[in-house]
Amino acid sequence: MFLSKLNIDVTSREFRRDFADVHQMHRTVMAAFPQVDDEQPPRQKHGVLWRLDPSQQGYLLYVQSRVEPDWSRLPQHYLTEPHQVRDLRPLFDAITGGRCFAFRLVANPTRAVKRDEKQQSARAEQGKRDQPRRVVHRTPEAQIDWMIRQGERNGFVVPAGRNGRPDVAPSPAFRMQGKTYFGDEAQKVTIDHVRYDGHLIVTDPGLFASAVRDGVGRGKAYGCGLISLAAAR
Amino acid sequence: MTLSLALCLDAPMQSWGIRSRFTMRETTREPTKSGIVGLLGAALGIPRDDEKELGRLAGLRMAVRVDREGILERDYHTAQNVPTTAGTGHRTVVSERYYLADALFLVVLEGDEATITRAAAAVQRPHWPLCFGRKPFVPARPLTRSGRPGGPRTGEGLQEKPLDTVLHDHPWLETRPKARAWALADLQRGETIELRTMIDCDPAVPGAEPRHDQPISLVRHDRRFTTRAVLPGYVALTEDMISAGDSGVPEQAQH
Repeated sequence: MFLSKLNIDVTSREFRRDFADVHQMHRTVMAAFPQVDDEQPPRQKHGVLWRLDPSQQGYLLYVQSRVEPDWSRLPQHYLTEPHQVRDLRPLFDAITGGRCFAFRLVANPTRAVKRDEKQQSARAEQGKRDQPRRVVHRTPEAQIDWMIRQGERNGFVVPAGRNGRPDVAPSPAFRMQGKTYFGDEAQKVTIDHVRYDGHLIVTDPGLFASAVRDGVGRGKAYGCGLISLAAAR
Repeated sequence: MTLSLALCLDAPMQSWGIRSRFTMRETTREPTKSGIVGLLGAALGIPRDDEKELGRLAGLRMAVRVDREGILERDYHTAQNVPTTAGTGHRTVVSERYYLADALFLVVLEGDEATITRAAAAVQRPHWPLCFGRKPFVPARPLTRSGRPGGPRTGEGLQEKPLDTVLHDHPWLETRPKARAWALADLQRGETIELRTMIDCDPAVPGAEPRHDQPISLVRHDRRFTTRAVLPGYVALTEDMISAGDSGVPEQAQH
């Protein structure tokens, strides 16, 4: 696994375009990876996850992948300094049971809301399946609950902080929008980002390592799901 | 002859809310119809409850060209000592206020000649101070040319052209030397550069999207809106649009 760190030039016209349309950002990131010729979608095949972090100068783009990316394909003025890529093997070696990490994650914590009959019949007319609506959790309590449930599924727990509450701080949902195309038909993409900063303790190393490798939650093509780990503070 | 009014909206911070109520104050990525009607209303000195005059402004057809996409930012805002609804004490209210940083828009209006002409004059000498979505978000440039030579690059103001023509040939409003040089180099290499547009249209047009920001009344605490249809699209940036509008005055040094 590889992790790339890209210092974004926020004055770049292409970055502004990508920032305004999250699908364009997905395409810019995926351009660094080889084409695939089999059935599996390229993002999953290459295990690509990305996240935008605000920094002093503007934004840092972190990209995690199974294969080494070729960042020479980025638009000309996209970065302020050369990209950095590192091998993540030491990190995966450090994932052991009971180990405590500081972590950061941007996720799309949603719940399913059943559509009413009017909406259902309208969707049926358009030939769409009856899927529940996904609604983002807006309150910090619900956002933390979602995080704890993810831990149960992915082999980690969020320890209690000094105040006795879970040691994780969610920052509000940031709405990213974009357009994706199926043939000629444009479809709107709306994805709410919630940023989590906190600590976690690994309970099941195998399960947790695969969560770090594959990402957690929804919206993995659109800047969600990448878990970053650091030594516990 | 169709008259259009071309305005330049440039400010370090702008905010164009559609669903902003109470503690979640969002912004869309381009100016709203209600925001522009409010801006012109302030320039003309129209009271918030004058639905007839506001209706005239709201009846203008509007188009937006995004000359520089903004960056979405969030303010953490607290108001202290807010009385609780139960009346038993006070609390601190936290609100999330989003805004666009560093965005740059060309806004074009077309319609009734008398209304357009009055609005054009009022933007030059506004009755109340102009702002972009919130009181402290003040313009960084005049919205239109003053007509005197040697002014900054900005909106051309009144033009005897239809709105669509203005969108396609109005000078690019970007003033940063670096961005202008990059764009020019890209065009000369044969790349296409597209500027995003949003044009008021008939709801029956394929691809039209609804926007719930057509104002009826802008009375505080009782704002009322209806829905309009917009067509998202693109216009190509040309070398002429980059070089046009240079008044021979060196651009300000930008950092």
